[in-house]
Amino acid sequence: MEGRGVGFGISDAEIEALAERIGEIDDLVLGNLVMLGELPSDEETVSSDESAARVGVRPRFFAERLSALGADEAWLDEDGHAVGLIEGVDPGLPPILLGAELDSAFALPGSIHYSIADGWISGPGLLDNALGAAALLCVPDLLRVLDLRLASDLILVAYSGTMREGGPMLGLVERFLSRLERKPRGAIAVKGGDFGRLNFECEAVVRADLRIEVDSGRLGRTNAIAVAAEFVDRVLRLRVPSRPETVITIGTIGGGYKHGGSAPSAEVGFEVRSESNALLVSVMSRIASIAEELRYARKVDVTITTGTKLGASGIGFRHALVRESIRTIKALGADPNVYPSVSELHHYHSLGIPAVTVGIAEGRDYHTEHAGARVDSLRKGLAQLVALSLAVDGGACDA
Amino acid sequence: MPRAQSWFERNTFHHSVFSDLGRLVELKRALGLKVSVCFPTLNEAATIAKEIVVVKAELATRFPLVDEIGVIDSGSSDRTREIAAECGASVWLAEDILPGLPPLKGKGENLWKALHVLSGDVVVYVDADIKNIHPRFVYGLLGPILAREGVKYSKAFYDRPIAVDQRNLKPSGGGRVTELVIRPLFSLHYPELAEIIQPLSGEYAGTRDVLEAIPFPIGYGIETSMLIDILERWGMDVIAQVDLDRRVHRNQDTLALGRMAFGIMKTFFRKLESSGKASYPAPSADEMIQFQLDGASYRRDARRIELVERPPIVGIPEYLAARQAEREGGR
Repeated sequence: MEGRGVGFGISDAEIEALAERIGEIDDLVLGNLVMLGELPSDEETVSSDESAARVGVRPRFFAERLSALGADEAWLDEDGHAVGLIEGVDPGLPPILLGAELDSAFALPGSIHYSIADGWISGPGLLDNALGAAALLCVPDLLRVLDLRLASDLILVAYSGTMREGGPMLGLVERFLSRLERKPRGAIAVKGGDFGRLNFECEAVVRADLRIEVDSGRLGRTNAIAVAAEFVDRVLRLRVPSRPETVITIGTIGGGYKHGGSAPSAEVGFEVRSESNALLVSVMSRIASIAEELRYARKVDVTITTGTKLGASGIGFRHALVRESIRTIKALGADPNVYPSVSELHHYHSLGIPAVTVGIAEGRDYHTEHAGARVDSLRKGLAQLVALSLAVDGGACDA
Repeated sequence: MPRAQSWFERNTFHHSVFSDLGRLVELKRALGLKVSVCFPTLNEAATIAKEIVVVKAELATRFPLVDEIGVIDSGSSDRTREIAAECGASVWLAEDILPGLPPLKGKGENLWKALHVLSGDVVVYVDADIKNIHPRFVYGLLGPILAREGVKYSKAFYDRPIAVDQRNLKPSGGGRVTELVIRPLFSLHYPELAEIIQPLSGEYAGTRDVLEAIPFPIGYGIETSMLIDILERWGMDVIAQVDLDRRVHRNQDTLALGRMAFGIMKTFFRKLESSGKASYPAPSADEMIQFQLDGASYRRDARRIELVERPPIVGIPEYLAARQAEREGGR
């Protein structure tokens, strides 16, 4: 590929041409996606080295396949993440990191089945996030077919264990980054969908569970579900500003054991997001006060357990990586869909690593067993991944 | 003196032994062989695309191990043929192959006719309903034929869970028909074949000189018949079996398995007779009688399961002409 004509990356015409050429390896891309995505993300096997340690089926496949496809190194790290390294030309430069969650939201052992028909590939967990991880598996082939070699090393990491309670926010990503010998010059978080998605800011978020328990002596007079309902009602009536945007979501609720019995316990799962760290703290304090008041007024045990807590972060719209991302998405014929996210992006930002999140394909039926990706949109998503890697390699994150 | 290895020890492999695909390609080239993969289909629109894509990606595009992917369809009413063609396979309707012969319906018919239209020196048969398709289903079967001198036929065996429902799997051992029917029969009359862990598995590969020289029953008995013919004509040493790990397949109810057992037993007894191991004074019946509870009463269900087989295809003039033309074209 000839020089880096525009900005830090390649020209718009070259980006468009990338997608065309990637179409030549559609079957390799789909093959990677089927083989990875049909592996259950919650099953373990034995590592192939002499340690015979228990490792995830998917991470082991990911690492072995990256190695077979020509990555210079591939391994499973101590947290079970699968990591690959493609060496760049200049060992003096810091690496570029491409990361994706490896787990899928669907745990159907042995029965994950993808189908390909009418220009779509579909199946459980495909968008969330088998496709993102499979996109990383395609990188060695992409570089080979496009005859590219970057100046920086490329680190490809598929994060494992992200569907455990609290997910990547519990420090998995942070720990992985802390183990790297050199801080990456830039990072791209890769999601299955949608192509055109662009996140460069993270909202502050708290995800927590409220648990209400009724003492056995009061059972019959006090119903935990009724107390939970009162909590939900009062939380949803809290006044929160639209600027900075702050949203409270009640996501799960449960309790009781039979239709005709007073519930001894109940749980409510909720999330608070805000563009402002201070506002988030304030809202959580008011929610804690509601819980505390219910404890005394209804004479129940109330506990709030926080699973996830992240601060707001971002690199700003004017950052060269954001500009290059927008240019790339436009060159590939889409309108960038910019919104703040709650994701591992926060960890990159908090360590001073410029990073964006992008999507690989046009998707449909998100969060269902029939989640699907439009096959011809994969080419654009992968072209975007290559173009952004070239932009980071060209210095988009170094200013 | 060291103990001689048994057939089981010598000819049983795990697919991972053959996972160096670059080496398999070298072996194939050195032997000057062409490899065809055949998917026999009937209404497999849900899985066929994926099977073709995975085999093509890994074993044709990335490693040129497979030269041809063919789909032989029994007349699907869904879009199997259209989807398979879109994915780059060569697709035939079975009844269009050798149209001068009276058409028959069944997997064995598709496998037999595949020999006429496919040009491989080795043909790998893979069922089109595999949900967890992986390239090992093909390279695992090719491995012994390419890497072990003298092996002409390889048969898959699996750790084979069956789908109990959409969300649950249950380990099933060797399969009920295998353990209750064919293994006892083999143990009685062909003990060598009882060394084969899953004689009824639907995935196998063979060299053309073997496949073209044996008859193909059209229905349930194809796997049983093939093994007996190969054993009797070439001996056990040309047969290998390969562990392909897990294969997720459709569960069948007991009545369906009963009909399968009937067809297999008919095939088996005919083979016994033709090889002089037994003789039966009267021809066996073609009707399988079963009962199903229907409310408070039993419903009798009698089904005809006839044993129809195609002769060795090497005796079909059109086949010989096509091979001749192929040889001349290749000169």
